[in-house]
Amino acid sequence: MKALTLTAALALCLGGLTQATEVESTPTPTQKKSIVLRADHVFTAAGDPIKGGFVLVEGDKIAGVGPGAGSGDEEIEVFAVTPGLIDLSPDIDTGNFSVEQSTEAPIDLSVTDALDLFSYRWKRELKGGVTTVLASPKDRAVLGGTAAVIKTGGPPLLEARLLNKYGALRAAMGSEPSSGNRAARGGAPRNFYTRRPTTRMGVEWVFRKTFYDALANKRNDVKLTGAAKKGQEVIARVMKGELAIVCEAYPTHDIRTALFLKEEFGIPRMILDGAAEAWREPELLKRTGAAVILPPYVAGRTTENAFYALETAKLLEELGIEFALSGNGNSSPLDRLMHQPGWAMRGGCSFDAALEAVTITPAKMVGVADRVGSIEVGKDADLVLWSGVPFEATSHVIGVVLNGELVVDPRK
Amino acid sequence: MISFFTAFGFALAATAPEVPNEAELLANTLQIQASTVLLGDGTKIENGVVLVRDGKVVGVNKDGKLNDASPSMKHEGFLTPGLIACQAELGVQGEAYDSTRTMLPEARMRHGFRPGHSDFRHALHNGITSVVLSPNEENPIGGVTTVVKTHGAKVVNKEAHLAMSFSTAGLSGGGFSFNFFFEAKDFMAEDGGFESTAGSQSGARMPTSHSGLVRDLGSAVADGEGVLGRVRAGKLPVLIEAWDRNEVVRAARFAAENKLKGAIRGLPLGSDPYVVAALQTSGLGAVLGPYGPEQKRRSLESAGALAAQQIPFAFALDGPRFAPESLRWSAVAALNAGAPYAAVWKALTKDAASIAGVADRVGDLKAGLDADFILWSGDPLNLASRIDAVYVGGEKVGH
Repeated sequence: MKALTLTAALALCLGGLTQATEVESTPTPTQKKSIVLRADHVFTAAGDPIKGGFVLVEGDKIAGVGPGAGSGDEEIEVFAVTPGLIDLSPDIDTGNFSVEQSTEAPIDLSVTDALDLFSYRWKRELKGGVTTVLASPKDRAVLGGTAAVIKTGGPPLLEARLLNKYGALRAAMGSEPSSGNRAARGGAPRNFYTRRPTTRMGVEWVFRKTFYDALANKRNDVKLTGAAKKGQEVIARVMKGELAIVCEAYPTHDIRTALFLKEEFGIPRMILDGAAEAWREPELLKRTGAAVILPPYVAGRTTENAFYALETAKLLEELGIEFALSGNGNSSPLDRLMHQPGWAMRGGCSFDAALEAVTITPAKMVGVADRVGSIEVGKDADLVLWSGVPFEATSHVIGVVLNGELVVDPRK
Repeated sequence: MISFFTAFGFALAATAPEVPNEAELLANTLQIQASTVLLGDGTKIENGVVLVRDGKVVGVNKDGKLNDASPSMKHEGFLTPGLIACQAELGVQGEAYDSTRTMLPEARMRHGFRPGHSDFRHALHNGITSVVLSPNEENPIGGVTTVVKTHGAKVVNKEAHLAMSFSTAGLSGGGFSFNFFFEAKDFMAEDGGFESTAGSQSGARMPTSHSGLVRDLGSAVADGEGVLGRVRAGKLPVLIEAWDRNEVVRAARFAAENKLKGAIRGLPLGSDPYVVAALQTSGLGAVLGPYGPEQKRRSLESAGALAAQQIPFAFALDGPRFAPESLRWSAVAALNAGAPYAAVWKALTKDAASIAGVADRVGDLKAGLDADFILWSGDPLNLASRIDAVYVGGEKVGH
C-alpha cells in the first residue's frame, strides 16, 4: 500500500517537472530589398556588352538589365559586372573517398553522395567569383560515376545547392585510373589494387567493355537489377545525348583515345577535361564534335607531361570548337579561374570567347544554361563585380552576388 | 550487508492471492536518505528517501520522513542513479572490429568482451554502472552492440543497436595523406574545430568511397535478413559513427530515408546548425565525446545546441585510452560550455538509458528499476565531488 502511494507521488512529481523548453523558431524570409548594380561595363555573355548600364536583382533572380541607371532599393556602383563564373573542373571532391575503387566503372554512383559541402573550398571558389561548379569524383576509376552541377554558396545542403544532379558522366584516360594497380602476383589477392587496369590500354579496354556490355545488354533485352540497372540507365542517358561524358585527357594519345571511343560508340556528347594538347589534334576535335575544358595555364608542361600551348584557346575559337576554361581549384592568384580568360586572351583569344568560356559555354555543356551563365532577365542572380576590366592582371573580383545575395560586398 | 533482502518476500507478493504481509515488506525495505536525491531527469529532492527492496527501487519518498518499521541509513551528500556510458570498449582488448569483412551485421559484441577485465572495475569505481559495448567505426557494419553492467559484466540488453559507420575510417580509400591534408586545412580555415578523421585501411576492403558506402549500406538495409531485417522493421536501433559534418549529414539523411531509429556517435561539431537540423529531421539522438582537455569550444557547445532542440544525447567513453573519469569530465565540460544542467545530467542517466534501450532497467530512481545508485559527497556535476559508495542491484559493490 505504502509503496503504491509513493509511486503515485513520484509519478506526479515527475509529471509536474517535465520541461517545456521553447523551440527556436525558424527565421521567416523577409521581403528582400532589390539591388541595382550600376557599372561602367556590363558584360552579359548574351549579346554585346553594355557601356554604362545596370543590372537589377530582385529576390534571387535578375529582374532587369540594360543601359542607363535603373533603380532599386539598394544601389551599388562598380567598374564592371560579369555573370558568375562556372568551373567544370574545380577539384572540389573528398579525395579518394569520392570515388569507388572496388570496381573499375562504378557508373551507378553519384558524386552527390560523396561531397563535403562544409569544406572551406566552396567558400574559396565563391570568393574568387566562381558561383557554379561541376563536382566530379576523383579520377581513380575509368568511369567514376556521375558528376553534379552545384552552386558554391548557400546552405551546405544538396537541396539548396544542386542545379543538376546528372551534369555529366565522369571518365578518365591516362595513367590516373591505373596508377597503383597491379596484377595478383604475390601480396594479397583481394586487395583492390590487384585489379585491372594497369596500363593505358587497360584503361581504354575498361571504358570500351563498359559501353559494349551496356549496349549488348540493351540489344539482348537483358533484365538487370540494383546497381547494374542504375548503371545501364546512366549509359542509356549518355547514348541519348542527355548526359555528356567529361573525360580527363591531357596528352595527345589520351585525347585521341577518348575521341576514338566517342566515334566507335557514337557517344553524342563528349567533353575532354584538361586537354592541354588539344592544339595538336584540331582536325580530330572538329570531326568528332567534341568539346574541351582547358586546364589552368602553366608555362610549358602540365599533368602527364602534356604541353599546353598559350595559343590553344585562340585555335579552338578559330575552329569553332566549343571550349571552357578551368581553374582546378587552384588557390594561387594567377592560377585561379578569374585569371584564366586573361591567359587565353594573351594567347590571342578574343575577349568575348574568353568570357563565354567561363560563363555561358560551360553552363550549356552541363545543361544549366536556362538557370546560369549569362546576365539575362529571369536567370539566377549570380554575378561577379570587378575593380577594373575583367580578367586583366591588374583587376580583381571585388564583389560576388549569389542567388541575389551579396556574398562578397564591394563596399566592405 | 543487506542480508535482510530476501527474494521470498517479493515472490510472495507477486504470486500469492492473499494480501502480502505489510510488516514483512516494510522490514525488507531499505530506506536511504540523502541530503539531495538527484533523479534521472535532473529533479533534486532535498532530504529525499529512496526505498529499495529485492534489488529494485520501490519508490522515492519526497517528504523526508523515515518509517520506523523499515531499516534506514542516512547519507550526507547526493544520491543519484548509476551513470551510463553510451559507447565504450571495456574489456574488449582491441578487438572491437573484425578486419576481414566490412559488413558484419551478425557479429555480436556480447561475445567479444572479457567479463573479468579490470576495465569494468575501474568504470564501476567511477560511478559508471552500465555501458554500451560497441564494435568500432572501422567497419561500415561492425555488428550488434550490447549493454552490460560494469559489476559482474552482466548483459542487460543482448542486442541494443546495429553499429554502423559513415566515417572514413570505415572506408578503404587509402586516402590517408591526402585527406589528412584536406581536413587539416579545413580546420585551420574555420575557427579551429576538430574535423580530422583518417582513412587508414590498407586497400584490401570495400567500399572505398562515401558514395559506395551509401549504396552498399542501402542495399544491406533493404535486402538483408536477420539483424538487418530487424533494423529495417524498426525493431533494432542503429548506432552510427559519423565525425565530420558531411558524414553526419550523410548518415542522418540515410537514416531518414531508410526510417532507421537510434543515434549518431561522434559528431564533434554537433553545435553546427546544419548538423542539429539533420539530426532533428532524422529523429536520431547523439552520443558525444569523450572530451579531452584539448577539446575545442565548438565541440563542447554541442550538448547545449542539441538540448535547445530537445535532441536526446548521451556521452561516450570510447576505448581504454580514455580513463573512466572522462565520462563525468565530458559532462562537466559540456555544462561549463553552457548546456543546461538537467540535459547534461539526463545524458549521464535517463537519456543514456533510453539511447541504450534499457530505460526499463536503469537510468533513474523509479519504482521497478534496478537499484543501481551512487552515493556522492556532493553534486556529481561538480568535479570536486567524490564517490562514497556504489550500489548495484541494491548491493554495495564499491568504495
